[in-house]
Amino acid sequence: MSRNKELISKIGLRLDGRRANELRRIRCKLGVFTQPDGSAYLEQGLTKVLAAVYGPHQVRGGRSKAQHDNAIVNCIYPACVNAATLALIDAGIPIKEYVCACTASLANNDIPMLDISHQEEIIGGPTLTVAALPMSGKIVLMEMSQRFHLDHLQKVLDKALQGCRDIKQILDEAVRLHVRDVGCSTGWASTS
Amino acid sequence: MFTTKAFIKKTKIGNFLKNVREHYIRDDIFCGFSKCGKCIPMESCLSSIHQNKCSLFNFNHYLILDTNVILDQMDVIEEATIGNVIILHTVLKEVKHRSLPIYKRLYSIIENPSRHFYVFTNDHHKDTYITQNDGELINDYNDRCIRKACSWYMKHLPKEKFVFLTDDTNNRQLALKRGNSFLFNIFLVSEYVHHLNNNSILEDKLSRKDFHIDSNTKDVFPPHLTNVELLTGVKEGKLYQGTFRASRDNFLEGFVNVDAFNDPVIVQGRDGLNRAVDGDFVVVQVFKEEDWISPSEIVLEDEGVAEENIDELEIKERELKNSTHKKKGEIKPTGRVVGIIRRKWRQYCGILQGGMDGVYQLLIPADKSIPKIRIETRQAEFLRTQKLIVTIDSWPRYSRYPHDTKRRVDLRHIDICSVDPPGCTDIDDALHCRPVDNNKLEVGVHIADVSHFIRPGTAIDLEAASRATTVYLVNKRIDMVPDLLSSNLCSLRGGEERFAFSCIWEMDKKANIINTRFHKSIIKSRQAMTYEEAQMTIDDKSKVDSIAESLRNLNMLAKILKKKKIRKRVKSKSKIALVLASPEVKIQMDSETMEPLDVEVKKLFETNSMVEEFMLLANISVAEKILEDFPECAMLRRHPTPPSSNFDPLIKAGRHLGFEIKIDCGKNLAISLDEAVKPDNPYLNTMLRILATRCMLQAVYFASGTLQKDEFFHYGLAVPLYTHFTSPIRRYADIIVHRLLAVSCGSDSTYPDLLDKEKTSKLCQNLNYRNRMAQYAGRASVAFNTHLFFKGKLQDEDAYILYVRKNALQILIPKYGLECTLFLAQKGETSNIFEYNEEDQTQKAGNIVLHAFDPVKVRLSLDSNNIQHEKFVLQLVSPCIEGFSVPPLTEMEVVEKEKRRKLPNDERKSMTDAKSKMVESIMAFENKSFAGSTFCNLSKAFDCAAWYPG
Repeated sequence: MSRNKELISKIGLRLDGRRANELRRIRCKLGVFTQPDGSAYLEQGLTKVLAAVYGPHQVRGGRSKAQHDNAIVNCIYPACVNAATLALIDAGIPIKEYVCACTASLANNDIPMLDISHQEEIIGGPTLTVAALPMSGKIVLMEMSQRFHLDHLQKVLDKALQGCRDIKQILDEAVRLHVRDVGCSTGWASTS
Repeated sequence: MFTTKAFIKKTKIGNFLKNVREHYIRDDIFCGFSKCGKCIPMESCLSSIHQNKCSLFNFNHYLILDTNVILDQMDVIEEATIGNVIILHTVLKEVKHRSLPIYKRLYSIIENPSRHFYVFTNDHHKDTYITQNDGELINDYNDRCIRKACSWYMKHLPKEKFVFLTDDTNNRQLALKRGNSFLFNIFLVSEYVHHLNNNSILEDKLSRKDFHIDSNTKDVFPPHLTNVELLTGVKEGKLYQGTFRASRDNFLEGFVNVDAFNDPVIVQGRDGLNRAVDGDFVVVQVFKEEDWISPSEIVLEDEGVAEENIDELEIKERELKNSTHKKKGEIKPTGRVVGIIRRKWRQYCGILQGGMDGVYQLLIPADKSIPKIRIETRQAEFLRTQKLIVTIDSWPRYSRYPHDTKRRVDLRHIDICSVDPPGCTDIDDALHCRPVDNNKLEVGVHIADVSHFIRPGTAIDLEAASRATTVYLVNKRIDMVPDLLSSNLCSLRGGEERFAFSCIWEMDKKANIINTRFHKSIIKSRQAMTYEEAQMTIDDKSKVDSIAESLRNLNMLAKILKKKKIRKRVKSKSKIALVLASPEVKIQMDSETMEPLDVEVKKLFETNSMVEEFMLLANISVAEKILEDFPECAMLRRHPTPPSSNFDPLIKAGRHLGFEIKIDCGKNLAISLDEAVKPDNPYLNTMLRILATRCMLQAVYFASGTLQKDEFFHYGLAVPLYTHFTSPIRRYADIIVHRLLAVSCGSDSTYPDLLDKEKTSKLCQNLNYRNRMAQYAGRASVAFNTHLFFKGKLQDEDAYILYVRKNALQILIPKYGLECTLFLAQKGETSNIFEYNEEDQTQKAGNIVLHAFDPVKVRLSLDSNNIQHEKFVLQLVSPCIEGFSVPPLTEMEVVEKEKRRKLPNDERKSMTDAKSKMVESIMAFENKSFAGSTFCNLSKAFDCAAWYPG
């Protein structure tokens, strides 16, 4: 492994100063637009995502095409998944659980590393992207760029799932904060 | 805390791109002092016991270094007297950016706990992070970061003393201005080192930028163009860039490989070379076509004593000019070096040139393609008898792994033995053969399982990868892997249990392979034999134990395999194994005095070819297997078919003798070589084979994904696929092949670099380079010891002319495998006795004509005037040429000479002492330092007497 492409320095810090198991900074906000039924803004490091949800509305075309219990959301970045989850919650769509996504990689062919930044992705190393239902531990999606040996998969996957749980914690806090704010302004606080 | 870092970068197309990156600032970074109660303690090497003793202060202190100090004074920092150093992360990054070699050296110090270095991540620490101001240059910003960190340390740990070392006056002044309130200790390195206790070694290592220059010295070289001029010139196509290669024979000539021309561009003379050193990346200006010349055929050596003495140089230049002429058809592009883009940075090995006083000395590098180097030292007297080198790295940290026996097949019950040359301690192969059912034989080749011990990415692996091969010198081995591994843990010693990688075939009695399998195993070799012992065991009919039986079977199979190859030769057209020759000699050494006792040509037994045959078979089988499983990244070895023009000298030589050497395919070449026999000159055929060997290209390693399949062919062995699997202790390529094979048989896991064809390809390049260098070193070592052997001797020997040159004859002495030059004319003169006929390649004197391959008798003696470049002096004895040859030595003279040799002549003794001291110093230096860079030097060091055209 070439030395000048070290992902984790010998002091244990990554290129941007994080440790291996730390997420990038996440900032998020629900209900940023008034037009759509639900919306969210999410910042994960330098990745900034806006998500908007329109609906639910009537099924277009034949009634037979209606799917009552699922919807398909296409996302490019893991951060988009997280933003979409927030927007869905904001729109009041019933969902089973938060869907959180996180990446993990293997640094120096040994240490699993959480939440890969763009710079780290360019430098190299495989990237495992996992979208999961953090509480039940179910994996919704898992994909990988490049490759590492199968022996490493479990620890990298564990790391990514841990990341998903951490993200859920943050999102959950944001949702509670948002609900409290909205609830306060609608006078919900006074009725209790 | 979170912030961003932005910088603007120019892309390849010329656009400007703004890069923004995340930058996290932390509050959990440790200052490195265990006594500090404020930080969260972590690992740190700083020690409260270590003392930096400097007379400038009366207290113990910690050092903080500026970037320029590390870049310029690495040699000083490497000395163990300096400890308790805090390296700021800003500095570390800057060093890495500016010079990777220095960074690596610095890191090896940081990793050494006994040096007490600590890396403080100041750029992520909440108190020492500062933002870069608008318009602030990166250098100024870094300096500011360093100053900030210094003052933070002083505030953070008021009880400790810190000293900041810098050579940057600007930084120093700024720091002093700010530092008033903190009692800032800032010093220049030279000041600091000057006041250190025991500083004499350190002071010599201080590098200097202010050279002492006489204002009235006359300019010896034309100036280089500026960088901008060079770049625009190259862009406009007026100038060309390429790698400069100095000529081995002529110090005033060199070549630059330029893509635009098919032939390398010749640069000649002092102006033409213009300070380029072998390996530099240079820019050349190519002359107009009418000024082009052909490469000179003359041999010139730099003998200038003092630096100022350029008169002699001018004489030589004139000589060179006179000797070059414009031959039709052979003129090559010619030019001159106008600038140097990148110096090839490495250390050079050599000795001081005698006869100079004062602190300025000339170092004569051992490698002839490197010019003399001026150095400044106060220890000239001491250094005069030593061989010098610039820097020495430390041993890499050594790691061992626990043994595991899972996924291994237990073969301890099988009677396995190894066959090697006598005195071999790194045994990497062992064999067995036993009958199995239905008239079949099971043959196993067991190779030391080095990849089990050397795990990818570890220090030991990186070091082995950069060394690439073990170098064998006459009485010394420079290991690729540490001794404990190479001659103990990995070595398949007799009677001991060892891990191995086995390749097992089932064969019928006609040596047809029925099936092949590979697995890791654990074996117990019954006996480690030499070739001679094995031969005796086979021949001794009274021995009927399983080892003897197994050897006999192996030998029988090997003979069939060999015959098959020969039969194949007749059948197929292109697949043919060549029998080539190069003189291999063995030197017997006196174990105490290190003086060579005798030089003899190596003996070969039938068992040699037996072992070789099975190793070839194993390598071929493994090559097929790994290519099948890793079509993109298998490491293979190929031997390219040489271009037909390479054979020109061979054909020419053949034609003069009346033989037609056909080179249209390997088969015809082998047949015509077989036929070229003259009864009156039995050595002639061997000489033709030597010439044929030199026409060949080097076999090289490559990654399978980088070439087309038909290029995989191995010309010399005449096999479509080949690799190296059988010597992992001494070759790195084999380790990679082992790892690949281990993955394909499921006993090990991959890692990314193994499957990356680019990285494999890059690794191959290094392996090829190192292998070539190791070969040179080995040959040079033989040459050196042959020199020692001939010291003070005078002998007449039978010899043959190998080549005829314009001013010399290339002579081969088969008895010692020696090749030397017999000069026909004195320096600077053209001979009036000999007449050179270029067309026929002959030298004529009177009615005697000397052809290539003619047998001659020469007198051999050693010229020791130049201690570093001792060379053989040949004088012609027969045929007798009036005014040139010398009369044969009579018995009397030989006896006389011997007697003189035996006299306890003090002078002679001191001479040999000096020489052995030189040998010792090389040895000592090897033992001390084992890092890759040194190794490179060493191989270069032995390159000094490279008598073999490479």
